[in-house]
This record gives sequence, structure tokens and C-alpha cells, in this order.
Amino acid sequence: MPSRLLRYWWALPFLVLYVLLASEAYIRVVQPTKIQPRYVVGAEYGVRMNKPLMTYYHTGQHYRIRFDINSKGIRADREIPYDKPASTYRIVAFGDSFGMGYEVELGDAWLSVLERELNKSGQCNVEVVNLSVSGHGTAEELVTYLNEGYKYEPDLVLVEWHQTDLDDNLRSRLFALGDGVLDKANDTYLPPIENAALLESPVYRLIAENSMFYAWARQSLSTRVQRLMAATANKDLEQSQATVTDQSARGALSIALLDRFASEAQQRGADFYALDVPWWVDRVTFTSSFPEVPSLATKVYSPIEDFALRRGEEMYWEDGFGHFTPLGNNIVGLGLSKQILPLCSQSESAKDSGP
Amino acid sequence: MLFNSLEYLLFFPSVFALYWLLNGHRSAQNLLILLSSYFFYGWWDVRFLYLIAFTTVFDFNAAQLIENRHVSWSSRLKSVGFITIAYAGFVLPESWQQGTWTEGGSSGLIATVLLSALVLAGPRLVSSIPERLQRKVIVSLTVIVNLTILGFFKYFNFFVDSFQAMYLTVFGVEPSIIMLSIVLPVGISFYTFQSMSYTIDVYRREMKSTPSIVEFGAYLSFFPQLVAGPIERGKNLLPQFQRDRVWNADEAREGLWLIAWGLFKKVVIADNLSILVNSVFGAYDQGETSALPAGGGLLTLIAVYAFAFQIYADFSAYSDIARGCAKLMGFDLMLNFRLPYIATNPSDFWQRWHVSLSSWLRDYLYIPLGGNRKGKFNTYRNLWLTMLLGGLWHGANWTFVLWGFYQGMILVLYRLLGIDHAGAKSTGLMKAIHVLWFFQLTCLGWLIFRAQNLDTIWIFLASIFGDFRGSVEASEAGWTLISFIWPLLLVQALQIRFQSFYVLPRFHWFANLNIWLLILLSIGVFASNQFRPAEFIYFAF
Repeated sequence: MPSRLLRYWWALPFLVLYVLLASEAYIRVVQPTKIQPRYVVGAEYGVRMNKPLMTYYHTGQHYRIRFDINSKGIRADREIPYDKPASTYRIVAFGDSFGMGYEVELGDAWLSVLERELNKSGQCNVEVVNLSVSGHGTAEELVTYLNEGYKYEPDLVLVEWHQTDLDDNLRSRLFALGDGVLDKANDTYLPPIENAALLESPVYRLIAENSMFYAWARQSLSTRVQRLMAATANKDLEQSQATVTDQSARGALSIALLDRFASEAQQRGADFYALDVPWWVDRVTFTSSFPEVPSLATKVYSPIEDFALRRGEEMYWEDGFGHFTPLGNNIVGLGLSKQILPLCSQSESAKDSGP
Repeated sequence: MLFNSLEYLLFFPSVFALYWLLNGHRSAQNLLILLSSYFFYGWWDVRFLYLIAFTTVFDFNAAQLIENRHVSWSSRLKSVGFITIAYAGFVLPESWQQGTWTEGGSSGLIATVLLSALVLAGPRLVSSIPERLQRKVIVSLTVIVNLTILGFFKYFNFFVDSFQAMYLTVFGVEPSIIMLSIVLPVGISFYTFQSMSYTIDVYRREMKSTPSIVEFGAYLSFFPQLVAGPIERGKNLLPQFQRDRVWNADEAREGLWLIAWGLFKKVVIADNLSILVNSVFGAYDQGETSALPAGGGLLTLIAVYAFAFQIYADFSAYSDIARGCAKLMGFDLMLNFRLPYIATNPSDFWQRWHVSLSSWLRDYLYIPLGGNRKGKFNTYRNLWLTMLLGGLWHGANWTFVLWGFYQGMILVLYRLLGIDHAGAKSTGLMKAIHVLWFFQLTCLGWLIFRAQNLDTIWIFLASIFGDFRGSVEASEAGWTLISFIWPLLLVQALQIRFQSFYVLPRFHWFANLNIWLLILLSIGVFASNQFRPAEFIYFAF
């Protein structure tokens, strides 16, 4: 039997091709999946960054979104020098896919709305530098700030918080709580990311940007691996944190990270502000997962109340990956601009800018 | 460990590879099966492995004494070692972990000492019983011990709870009785029945006892069928542990198909139908509402039909995967389902549904009670009693007792009306009418079975018969039902057409390739949509 099969070795490539095409057809019929390639590479400071100088598309049922990544790994339509322009209030933002503006055009993303609204106010000249990377949690964001973000001389450090950060912070194992004190535990966290050369390969890009089967397989696999890593890290942390009784160990780590982030920013003369991205249950039910950080009590904006005023409208894509819709982005950007306007208008940079 | 989990996906291929590496070394293969089965079960809860070990040692020795086989000191010491290791490995760590000496630790110690004493002194004790009574006394003792363990872990709280309720109704005060927080050990009903069948068969001289505790331990804990059957018979499975296994590519191919098709039935059909079923039944599970289902009687009926297919897909999936894994290891487990929903009468149904249990009940309960040999009245009584106990076997709930009563009732009714072979020889339209009619009766049984309390049964019947109307929800539920059961119906139609449960060899290789692709992709897609693998329904029994 095997020798009979060996005679047909030449048919193997055709068979493989057939299996792949049939699988693609199956996924397109049974489980249409959004194609959302993510081009991330390891930065020299040990965590993930967007691969510089890439242009690619995210494709869903109702949209095709263009992503332009500049030479410093920022989703932007221009290059942004480290040196801050004179008379400019610079906001350096950190976040995950919500921060990157997934599922909306760059101009519709909440950070673009924020920049536009603050500039429209006439009280400050604002520039937003968006260092968000899909998949980042607070731990990676903090490392990015300490190695790259501070170079932009921010007046305000803006951190986007999402419920997934709780697990992301554990999973990364970049920091650990030893006797309640936050310590650096590892220098690098580079979860399975594609080889940089692979990301440039035309065949890979053809598959990554067009195949629903690939998108489905990648998402399924990464979700399983992420859950497994988070569960393991959570177990380890709980075992090492026998004294943490009032809140879960993972919450304690995130609180310490946010606290450290704020104090690092303040030591460098920057204000600190956080956006709490609510967890979406249905169109009228949103919950906050932002941990209670005493030092940040007045420095968090949650759009839950603003969302509630627009009862029943679609704030998150319901047939997509659940990021903000253009409407959701707009409400978040507007709400945040109202919170940040007083900070920006009172700052020295704003005074320099004049009326 | 669940068959549909990532852990099993790693566990089984590892055991499989090691197992065939040991090919030609039967004892080592049996030992591997024993150890891997304990690992498989211990993944759920290590403590209850002690119960399996206890049953193993007790029945292993009892069977040899029943047969009047000389039990050597070396064999007795092995048994004592087996139970001591089980106590030290499965019970002690839990007791010490909690810092204090737990009740489980003390009970386990007493049980270990008593069993060891019984094993060591067993032949001596037996010799003190009059010879003509020896076999009967031992087999009675094994039945009593097995049923006591099963009864304690499965039914203790149920009977205490029922007694309390009855006392409260009659005397108006609640008696002060201690309720124990007893966890139901997974699979206890299955392996207890399997063990009992072995000692009874040895008693009936239908098989020889085994002198090897590893062989018997592997037979009793064989991981593919340990927690949800099929409930094997010693005379079928044990001899397979006593001979060399030979790799058979055709059997292995069929085994792979059984695993894949089983996973498809579980992950794609049963787990998705459970969403529909729970959306209707769920609101009544806690007994907090008495309102009729808002979607109307048609929705209620569809939910009951959906449960009929859910439980079939779920349970037969487990049996298929168990048989498939066993085949890959060179074993042949009994067929547990034979297209039950084409049954035309109750006797036919019980020869098709959960065959390993119904034949067990027939051989070890119905026939010993007298079967149909002692007149009509006794036959009906025996049928009813067998089905009542069969219902209770499923769990400690009055709905299961009622379900058993109902099954007994339709068996008796069909006999009373002289239609107990109805539809057996009919063909075409008449056969279809018989099948459809009996399917309705089966579904009424499933309504009783699925309901968590008696009120739900009346509410659902009132909905179906008193509030029968269509609704948007009913139409959506109907489409959901059809969209998930058609693959099952199609495969069954092919099985009937080809008169074979394994239909793949009938197709061209290219059709086979596409069927495998469809099955594997569907499992992958639907499994990845689940947050965590869902348990099999029969784990609860």
C-alpha cells in the first residue's frame, strides 16, 4: 500500500493545494472571518512594535481599511520627529488595537478626533503621537514609554486601558510583584511573531491579506495560546502572592503597573491620563474593568456615561472584532478632549502657543 | 479529561505511541493502560481514584474466591500493595494538604485496613462458610458492597432529602438530619456495573476469573470507556487484555473515523443544540417560574425534539470516540447505539439505545427477577421494576424515576395491547408511521428526562397541548434544529442504505477526502468558537 502511494508522489502538491482551497471555501461559507493581518516585529528594547514602513489593509464585510505605518512604527500619514515642535502640546498615547484605531480609517480613530477637537478649541496646539501596538498591555506600553515614548518629550502621557490588559500584563511576565513592589522580571516579551523577512515575502502577504482560512487559523491558535499563557501566569502569580487578599493577583499587578507608569511620566515632567475602554455586553450595557488606582482617581476617562446617552446605537462593531465604530470613536475622542482641554490649556506649551 | 479537550489531544497520541512501542510485551501494555487510565481519571479528581482501586481489589479477589481458585500469598500481597499505594497516592496528599486529618483520610485508612485484612484472610474466612453457600455468599457480598458504594456516593443525599420532605409533609416539622456534601464521582455508575458484571459472570461460570490484578485493573479502568461507557462485560473485554494485540490498519482506519465522527457529533451537533435547548428549558431549571414559555407550544416542542437529538449526538459521540480509541489500541468495544430513532416499538428502542446498559439490566436484573417466564403479571412487574431502576441509575432525581416509570409503562402497554412487535415487519409508509409515532413517545420521555423538576414537565405539556402556536422564535429554532441535525440524518440514511455503520469504504477516495475535510474543518471551527470544551451529558450519571 505505501509503495503504491509513493508512485503518486507527484500528486502531493496538487492535493495540498486542493485541501487549502477547499478549506478556504469552507471558511468563507461557514465562518466568514475578517482578514486582519498584523505586522509586528521585535523592537530593540525587547517588546513588540509595528513593523516600520508598511502599508496594508484590513478587510471586513463592510470595510477595507488602509494602514500606513511610518518609519518609527506609528500608524500615521506622516513622519514624526522626536523633537517637539515649538509651541506644541504633545500627547504621546499608548494602547492596543483600540489605540491603533482598528476597524476605522485613521481620521476616524478616537486619537485623531481628540487631536482635531483640541486644536479646534483654539486653546492649544496639540500633536498626538500614537505608539499603540495591537496586542500590547500596560507592561509592554510601559517598556515602550521608558525606551521610546519619552524621546518624544510628551506633555501628556495617555494610556488606553482595556480589560484584556489584565491578562496581557500577566502573560508578558515583564514585571512581577515581589512583596507588593513592582520589579522588572524579564527584559523581553516577544510572543510568537512572524519573522521580519517573512512579513515582507509576497507569498505571505498574499495569504495574510486575502485568506480567510489563514485569518481564522491564526486567530483561533493565538486565542488558545493566549488563554493558556494567561492561565499559567495567573496561577504562578497567585501562588507567589499569598498575601494579596483584597483583590486578585492579576488586578494587583495591573494597579502597580499603572501607578508606576504615572510616576515615571510625572518624573519626566509629563501629565498622565488614562482612557478606560468599557467592556461591551450589549448596546446599552457597558462595564468598567479599570482597576482602582488611588493615584489616578481623577485622571481616568470612561465613556460609559456618554455611551449611555446614545442608547441603542452601535458603539462597537457587532459583526467584527468588537472595536469602536466610527461613532464610538467619535464619542470617545470628544469626551476625552473635554477632560484633557483644561490640562492642555494650562500647560506652559499651550501658553507659548498664544490665542 | 474530556475527549474534546486539548489535553486529550496530547494525552491520547502519547499513550498510543508508547503503547505500540511496547508491542509484543502484553503485560507492559496492560500496565501502561492501567497507569494511563488512572492518569486520565485523576485529571478530573485524584481522590476518587481510590474508589476505583477499592472496587478493583475487592472484586478481583472476590471473583477468585467465587471460582474457588487458589489465591497465592504473593497475589494477596500484590492486592494489599495496590490498595495501600492507592491510599498513599490518592487520599493521603489531599488530607495533609489541608493541614488537618480530614474525614476522607480517616475513612480511607479504615477502608484500606479492612480491605487488606479481608484480602489476606479471605480464603480462610471463606473456608469457614459451608461449601454449598460459599459462592453465593461471596457474590452477594460483592453486589452489596458495590451497590453500597454506588448508593452512598450517588443517592445518599437524594434519599435523605426525600425523607425530609416526606417527614415535613406528614408531621409538619423538619427532622434534623445531617446532609453530607458528597461529590458524585464521575463514571461511578459505569465502572460499578462493569465490575459487578464480572463477578456475576464468574459466579455463573460464564467466564474464568483472572489471576492478574493489573489485567483486571486495566479492564475496569480502561480509559476510553471508563467514565461514560459502553459498560463492558468481563467476558467480552477481559479476554482482549489476555491476548496479544495485533495492529490492524483497517480497524485503525475505522477507529479514526469513529473518533472524528464522534467529535463532530459532540462539538458541532450536540453542543450547538444545547444552546437552543437551554434557551427554552433553562428558565425552568431552578423551578422559579410557572409561566408558559413565551415562544409558544411550537417552540417548546422544537426544544424537546432538539434535546432528543442533543442527547443522542452527545452520548453516542462519547461511545463512538471510546470505541474509536479502543480500536486504535487493538480492542473491540461493544456497540452502544444502533440507530435508536428508527425504532418502531419500545422493545426495539431498548435494543438500539444505550445497548450496554439495557442488556446489562436485562441480563442481571430482568432475567434474575424471572423475566417473562412466570406469567404475564410477573413479566409486567419485572419490566416495570427494571425500567424504574434503569431510570434511577441515571441519577438521583425524581424526574429520572418518573422517566423509568414512563419507559416501563409504555413497554407494558405495548405488550398489553399486543403490539409489542409493532412495525417490526412493516415496510415503506407503514414503517415510517410507526417510527414517527414512536419517536413522539420517545420525545415525551426525553421531556421528563431533561426537566430538572416535576413542575417543568407539566408546564411544557401545557405549552405544547394548550398553547400551540408559531412564533418568530419557533421559526428560528426550527431552522437551527434542521441546520444542525441534517448531517446526522444523512449519515444514518447512508448507514441504513449500506447496512453498515462504517460507510466510508463505500465511497471513492476523492469523496472520502472531502468528507474528512468537512468533518475536520467543522470540528476545528466549532471547537474554536467554544470558550472551553463542554462536558458530555452522561458524565453526570
